[in-house]
Amino acid sequence: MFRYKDAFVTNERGKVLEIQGSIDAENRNIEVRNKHGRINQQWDIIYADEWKGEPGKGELNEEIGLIVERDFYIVS
Amino acid sequence: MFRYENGFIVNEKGKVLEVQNQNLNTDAEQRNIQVNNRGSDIRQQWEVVYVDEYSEPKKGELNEQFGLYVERDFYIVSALPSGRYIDLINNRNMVIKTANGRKTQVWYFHQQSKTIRTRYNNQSWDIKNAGRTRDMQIWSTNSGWFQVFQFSEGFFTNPTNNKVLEVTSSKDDEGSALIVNSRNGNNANNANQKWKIVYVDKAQAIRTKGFNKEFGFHINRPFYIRSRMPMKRVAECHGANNVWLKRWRKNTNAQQWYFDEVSKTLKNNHWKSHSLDIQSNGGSTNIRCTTTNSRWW
Repeated sequence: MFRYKDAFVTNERGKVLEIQGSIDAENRNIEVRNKHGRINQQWDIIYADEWKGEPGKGELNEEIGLIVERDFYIVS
Repeated sequence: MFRYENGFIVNEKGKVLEVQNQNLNTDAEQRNIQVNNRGSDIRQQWEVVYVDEYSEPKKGELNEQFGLYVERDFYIVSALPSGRYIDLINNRNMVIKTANGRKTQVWYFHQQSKTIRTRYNNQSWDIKNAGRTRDMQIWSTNSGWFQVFQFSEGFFTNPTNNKVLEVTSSKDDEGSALIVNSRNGNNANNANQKWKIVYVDKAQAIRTKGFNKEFGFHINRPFYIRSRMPMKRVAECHGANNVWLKRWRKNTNAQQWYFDEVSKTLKNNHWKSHSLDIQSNGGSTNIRCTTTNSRWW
């Protein structure tokens, strides 16, 4: 049984979900550990019916600051 | 020749009927009845009930002596702050757990045996080792003194040893064991000994939508558990077993989870009989996606 509060997914014994080894990569295991609060223990709950999906070709990826698959030069 | 006088059945030499042997097991099936010198013990006291006036409560009727309705299903809610329900671990030992909709949380009073039984397998409350311990379990019904409890003023009391049902050490935790112990009194300090009966036919229906404040999730509304690390990957149930970090993929139900109000677990939207789970019954650090069991892990 898990609860979600303030970015942490916590069980009743105070353990929280975290990404093993704090490595942000495909197929990394997810595990429970004592809470230390670093980013590999922080999660967002995104409801599927509110998920906008990822920006498609020609759309701005706001987080990255670039338009998807739109060619550009980089000028010094 | 016997006469009936003030609760005693007396012969002309002053001997009275009594149930043989004064011990905890006196009030049991097939005990002999004998005559002895008159005392004040309850095993010598009788009521004469005329057949045309005798009746026992039927199904759905209140048994006033036991404080419970006959064969009317109920939950039993602890007075401790979390309001957990009486449940079973390993389908044997009595504990408190969050409400989960399983039959192991549904009880009824059985008039014939005078015991409280589980709807899971119709076994009865039982103090382990025929009452020689404090631990509570369910066991095949035998109506021994160690299986009989009366409910009154929020306490379940064994009428033979006067011990009451309690949550051990007042631990308001998932899976805390139940024992019998001496009653502490009737005050705020004995919440671990007090209980509320909620009859199933009066219980509120399980919600199927809306926000569960305690758990922080919307009920039955699929969601992603998305890491805040830079790549924003999500938790995915892989092969109904491992839970991995994976890049978000459109319409991949194995990446979606939902909060189930009945089991209080996070179920996977592809493997719908599976929930987020700590491996090895909570003995590991690894997270898995396994068959829902509503245990603390």
